[in-house]
Amino acid sequence: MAARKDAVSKKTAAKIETLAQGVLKTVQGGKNPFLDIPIRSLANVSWSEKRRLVELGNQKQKRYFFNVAMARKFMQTFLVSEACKELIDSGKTTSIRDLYYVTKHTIGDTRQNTFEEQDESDPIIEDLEVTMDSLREELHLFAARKGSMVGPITITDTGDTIDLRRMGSGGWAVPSIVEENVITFRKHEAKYVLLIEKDAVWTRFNEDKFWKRNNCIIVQGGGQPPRGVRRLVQRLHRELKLPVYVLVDNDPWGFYIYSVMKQGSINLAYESMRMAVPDARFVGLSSFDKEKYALPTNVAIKMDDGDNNRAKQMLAYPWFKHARWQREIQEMVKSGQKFELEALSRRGISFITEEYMPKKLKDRDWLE
Amino acid sequence: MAKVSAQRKSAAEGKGRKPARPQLALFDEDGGKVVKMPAPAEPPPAPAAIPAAAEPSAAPLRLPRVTAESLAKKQREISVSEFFVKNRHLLGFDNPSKALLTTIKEAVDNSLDACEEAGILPELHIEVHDLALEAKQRDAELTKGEGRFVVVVQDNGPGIVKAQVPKIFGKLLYGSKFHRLKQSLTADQSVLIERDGKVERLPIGQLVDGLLPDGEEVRDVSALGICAPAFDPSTWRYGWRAVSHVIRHRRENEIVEVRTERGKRVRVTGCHSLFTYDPDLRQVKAVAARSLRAGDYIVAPRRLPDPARLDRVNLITHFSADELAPRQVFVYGVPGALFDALAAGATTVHQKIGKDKSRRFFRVAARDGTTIDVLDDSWAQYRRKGFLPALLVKRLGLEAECADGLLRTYHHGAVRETPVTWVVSRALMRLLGLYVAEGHCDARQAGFTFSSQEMSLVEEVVTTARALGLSTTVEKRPRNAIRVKLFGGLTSLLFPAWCGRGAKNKRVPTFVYRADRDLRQHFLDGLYLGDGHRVKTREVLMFGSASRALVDDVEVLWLLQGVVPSRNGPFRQRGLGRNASISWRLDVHGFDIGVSHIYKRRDVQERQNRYRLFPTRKLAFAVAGAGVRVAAEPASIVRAAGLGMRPAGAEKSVGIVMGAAVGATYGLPQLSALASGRVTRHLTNHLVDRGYLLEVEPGGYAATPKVEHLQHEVAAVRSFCTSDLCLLRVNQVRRVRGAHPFVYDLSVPGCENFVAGEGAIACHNSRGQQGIGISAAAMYGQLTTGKPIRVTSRVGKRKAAHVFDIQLDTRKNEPVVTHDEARDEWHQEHGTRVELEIVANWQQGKRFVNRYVEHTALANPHATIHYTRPVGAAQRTNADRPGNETMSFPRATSELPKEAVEIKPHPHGVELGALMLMARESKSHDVRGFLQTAFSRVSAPTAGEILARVPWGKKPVRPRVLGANRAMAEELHKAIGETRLMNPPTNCLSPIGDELMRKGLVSFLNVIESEGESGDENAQLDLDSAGMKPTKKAGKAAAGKPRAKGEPDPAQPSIPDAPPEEGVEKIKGHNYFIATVTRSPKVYRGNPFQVEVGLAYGGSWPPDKTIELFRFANRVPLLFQRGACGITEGIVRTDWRNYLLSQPKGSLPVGPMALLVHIASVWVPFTSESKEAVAHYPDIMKEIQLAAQECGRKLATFIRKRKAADYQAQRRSIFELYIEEVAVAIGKITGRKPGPIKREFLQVAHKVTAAEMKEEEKAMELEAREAKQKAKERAEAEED
Repeated sequence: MAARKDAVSKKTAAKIETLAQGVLKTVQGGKNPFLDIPIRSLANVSWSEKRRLVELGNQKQKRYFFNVAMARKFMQTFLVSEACKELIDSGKTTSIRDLYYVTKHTIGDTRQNTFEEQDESDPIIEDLEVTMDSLREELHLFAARKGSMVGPITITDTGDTIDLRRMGSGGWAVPSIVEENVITFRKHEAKYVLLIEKDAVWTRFNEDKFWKRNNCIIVQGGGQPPRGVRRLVQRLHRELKLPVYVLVDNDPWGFYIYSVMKQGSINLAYESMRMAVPDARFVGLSSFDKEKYALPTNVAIKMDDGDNNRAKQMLAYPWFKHARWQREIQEMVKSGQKFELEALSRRGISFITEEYMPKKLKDRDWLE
Repeated sequence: MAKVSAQRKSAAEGKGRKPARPQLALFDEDGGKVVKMPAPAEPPPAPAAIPAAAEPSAAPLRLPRVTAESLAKKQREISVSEFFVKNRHLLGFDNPSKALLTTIKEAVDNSLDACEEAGILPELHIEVHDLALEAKQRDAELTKGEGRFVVVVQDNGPGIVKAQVPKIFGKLLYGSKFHRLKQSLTADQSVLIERDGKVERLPIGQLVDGLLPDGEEVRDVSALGICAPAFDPSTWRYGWRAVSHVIRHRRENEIVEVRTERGKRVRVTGCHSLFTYDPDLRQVKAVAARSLRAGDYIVAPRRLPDPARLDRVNLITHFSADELAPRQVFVYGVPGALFDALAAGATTVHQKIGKDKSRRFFRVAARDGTTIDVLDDSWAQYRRKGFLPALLVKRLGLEAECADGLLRTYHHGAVRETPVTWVVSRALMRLLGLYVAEGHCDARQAGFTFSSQEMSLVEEVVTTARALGLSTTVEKRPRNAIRVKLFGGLTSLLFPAWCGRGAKNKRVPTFVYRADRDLRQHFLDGLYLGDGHRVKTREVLMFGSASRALVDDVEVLWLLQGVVPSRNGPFRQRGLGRNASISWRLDVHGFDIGVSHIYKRRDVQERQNRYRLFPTRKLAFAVAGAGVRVAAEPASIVRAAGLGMRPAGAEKSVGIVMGAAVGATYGLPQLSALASGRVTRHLTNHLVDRGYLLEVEPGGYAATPKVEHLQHEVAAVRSFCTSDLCLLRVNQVRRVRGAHPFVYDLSVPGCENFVAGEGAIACHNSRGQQGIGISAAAMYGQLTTGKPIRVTSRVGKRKAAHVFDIQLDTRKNEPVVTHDEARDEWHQEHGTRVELEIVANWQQGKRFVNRYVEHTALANPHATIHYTRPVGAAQRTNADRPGNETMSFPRATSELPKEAVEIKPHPHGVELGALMLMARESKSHDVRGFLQTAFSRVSAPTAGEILARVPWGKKPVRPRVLGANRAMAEELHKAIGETRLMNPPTNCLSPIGDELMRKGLVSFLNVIESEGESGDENAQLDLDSAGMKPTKKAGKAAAGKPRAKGEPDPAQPSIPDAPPEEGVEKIKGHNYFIATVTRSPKVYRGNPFQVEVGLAYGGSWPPDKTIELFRFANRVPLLFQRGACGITEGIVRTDWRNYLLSQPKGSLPVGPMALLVHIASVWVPFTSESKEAVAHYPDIMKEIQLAAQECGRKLATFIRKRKAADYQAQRRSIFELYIEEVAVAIGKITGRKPGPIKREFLQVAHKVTAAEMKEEEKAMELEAREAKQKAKERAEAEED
């Protein structure tokens, strides 16, 4: 383990050093130093039909130092890499907010700071990730912790063995870094993984011991699942060959969560390979469930302009081109209504765990 | 009361005609009520006589029955002064601070206008003196509240002629800009006037030149008692009315000759108005000569008013002393009392005559003040025999006293006596008539030549002459001629003096005009017996003469008789003589012949005289085919309106139309009663068809408003046809060339018309009244301080300057001159200086006055303005000079603004109603012509293009039809809107211009005080809301930042030779970016206008305050009601964020900028009479916005450029800072020391940035271009 850890860190540290050396060399050659940073915008992102993933293209942007518009970012990139190298060297990890504070200081005797806001440092970290092709986790950085998981599985987390069957009502908090050097899977009886959009619904599933009765792992990501949750679900899918089902609200945002889970996001397109589960299945809430499960109209929420726009954008996504998805989204736009998962509670507090989910799975009523 | 006094005045003059109506009579509301006079704070300087105050107000007035008309009349007759004394806020004198500004404003505006029009570069002195401050010690502080101030405004303008000064400054609503008037007649046009009891017809040039000294343009001649026949615009009756002014000025317009039927013609300047009848208003109104076309109708007198009647003629008065001197003429029957009276007033003197022979003389005083010495022996003889030589009578002015005497002459020793006074009798008139026709005269006798068939006439002449005491001889001459000779008395003098000498110079004795109507006819009869003849078959009475003057005179005589004769000629007849003889003919037709005593008309109806009829063209309701003219009878008018096919039908229609009341319902029986005959459905259907009746129920008809209109029409036409006016058709209008250096005009107050031209045509004269003017300030000064306004004016180098003190008689609205003095020496060759003491509040008003002066300087870069104002000791830069400080705005250009030219309206922007009105007034035959003549920028092809867009465009349509048809007018209006037209000509506008605006801004920024930049300037300049706070800040700022006040330092050039950047001016150490935009002229409601915007950015303007907005309309600064002004609104609506200024929503932008907006227009639409804010017309707002945007784009380019420059300056330091950081980071990563890394980076920095900068600059430019493009697109989108 330790040797492996060292190997990854060593490799990352070497990458940082190479970057710096490259810049030094250019400067010594009397040229404007630059960094080649892959562009992380929509223009450089494409959907790979074959791999069913959102992938980063190979367009790169040169970040020069001697350019008024770029100098500041160039400087910031090196501040961040320097801080990361120090983390790696000392074998510690830290949050990205922490890093912001570590690198923030006043420049010279001006009133300028190296970073004014965390908003300034976060994209620099992402830039660094893509530039060096090493993940945030490899840079010893983690994002804010979010999400919890229970299920018939035992894991090892930094040497501690944890039985996820005995996690009480709160569940196991999914850490930000869930790489193999941190988390390993042990014994399990799970038949599938159920990713639930929100904490409240997940708590219902946990309380009703849904995972016990149905032998599944239930995970929630508190809205858009963080990298840790996504990476973990992908590992469960890959390593344990567990099918993944996604349970989200019937609104554009819910569809988007599913889409990110399935093909990856534009912003983190460079990590899609490690995060996306192209086989993930959408189990609801479908636009047609309101009739199927006889939901009264008074539990519907009216779509606003933002929802409509988002839905229309989604109609154009290549991975939603399938006729069923088109129908699904069009139905939502047409009705102008959206439903939260909690709407099902109208039919009974445990309706969702006792009738809805079992029926969905039994009928194979999902979308892919 | 003014009325009463006017009556009294005319009575005193002993003339029995109607009192001349004062121009602005004060109406005394209820007889007894004493009109409140302004109580002066202290008695005005002597003489304190304000006549109206001294006049008793208890003149008993008849109490007329109160009717709407009488009430309306009352309202009209309230004196203007009186009204404004009570409502002075209307003139901008609501409070003492505003009054100060208004006073200065009126005077300065007048001065600038006067200078501009005279082509003089204005140099103005504006002074405000705080009397309280100046009275104190040198350390005195400003008056805190209201106080007495003296305002002085002095210009170097053309000056004002002496006669005009009192009226301009002492009479409200009196046009103060005479030099603007251009409406006049040529010198040779004859006018009819009465002067000294004589009616004269003489060329206007001769009349005016005789009254006006060289070089003067206008003179008040009201004191001379000259009268001219003028018609009252409301009653259309002629009367003899006093001429108030004679006017002469250099010709500037074309001369137009208008010829009408009946052979009349008049030569006037193109702008001079004649009169016509407006069928819509049913009134006579003025029409410019140049707009007349053949076929139009103009107003001419049908009947001239009788002058004061004359029953007797005193012969002596008709001779001059020179004529009498060589003759032996004596007046016998001189009363003894007269001798006594003369002797009593005589002194005795001794004079030597001949060789040492001294004789005694009586020195007798003549009436005109001279003395005449009469030899004592002669005197004794005169006295004894009771006679005096006629020459002496004449010299002593004793004509009236000797009126009862006899004139004695000696003919071959025989005594011939004739009365001094001849009674104007039928016989005398016939005799004169015959003499004018047939008579001649030589040194001793007057002769008449008759044919042998005219023995009755011979007898008549002999009888009349004998009765007058003249001796006669009758001789036979060859070719059947009989010659009657009159001897004795003064015949050989009298007849030529009265009637002219020689056939070509014959004329009508002037006293004939004043004879009784019947007697005048006898004169005419005598004349026609001699030279006239009647063509019985054609019902014409003809009179021919080789004397043009005679023909003119006789024509006037006929007009006095109420007959409009017809002039013909000149005829050239090659007779036996070497030269062709030229003659004229005067014809009287048909009905008119009956006026004569001797010629009887046969069975002729009045309507055969066409001028007595009414042209159908001037009938609002006339239908096609109604003929050219109609008689003034209801039947005829009703028939012309298309009612009643046959006379009987017309009679019935008349009965119905004249009898029906609008709104009432009539059945057939009632209608029959109205029509006095059986009314059938046939007739009612016809009336319904024509829209006069409306069938409201079966068999029941209601009269429509059209009935009422027709009733009014009938009444109006009838009253016109029975008035003293007639309408004559214009036969020809042409421009004439000729040397007419001067043109002339008369002013007849109240009527503003007179009779002129060949054959008498009613001419309009108008002075135009431009605003209230300076006299309002004079009134305010008089009200608050009791002091008169003092005016010094000089018109030229060789002329003396005149100093006047003028007060207003507010009851009469007349000036009272309390002091009048001529000064040979004045420091200026020409110009006007106005001094006025008023109660004002400088503390509150100074911001506005300062600002007004600054802004005036800004908008008038061609003017030099010296501005002296009170300054408290604390603020004074020069403590030695007490009270006042002067600052000067030197002129920025010596180019005078070009003069605006009058143009026709532009079709774009003409509103529908206006279009219809113009169409109705059009003189063109069809709409095509109407479009071309009534509008500017419409050529024949353009008119065709417009008409191609309307369905009826191919047919010729009368403009009048268009004017009455709303649907058609709407189509045309739409078509005009769709047609692309050239912009209106710019020469009608007087914009400041880009370059001058820039110069103005520069020199303005050079001079303005720091006050202009201090904080409180952003407070809304709104005195009206009275949110006035004393401005402490201003003083502090001025004290804190001493700036170049007073004369600019010549050693320090205000503008550096090379400005740092294009568009940037360095002024007083600050860089200002100046941009100006002059839009091309646009149109709203047919009026062209032009918007100009200038801005000065940066410099010392505060960057965090709302911008300074300077508003101007026709170069006049607008200081008040900023919030209500369309200019402000236009600037607010412009999105200045596009131009890199911040702008809170719905308000002016914020930034270091001053913005100047100027609207030049033929007619600026102000929101109110106070002319303080421009109305929110969408067209104008749009132009303001577009101009502001254009200026804004220039500004944005500048700001962007400056930002780029700032960038370059910053970049090196940025890199240096970042290198430090990067070097440390890389050092740590690579484990090297940061020092060498830093050095390496710095080396590259120097190398790289040069190339990099260029690249960046390029990128920046690209960005700017894109932004510009975007802004342009946006602007275009807005424009569309």
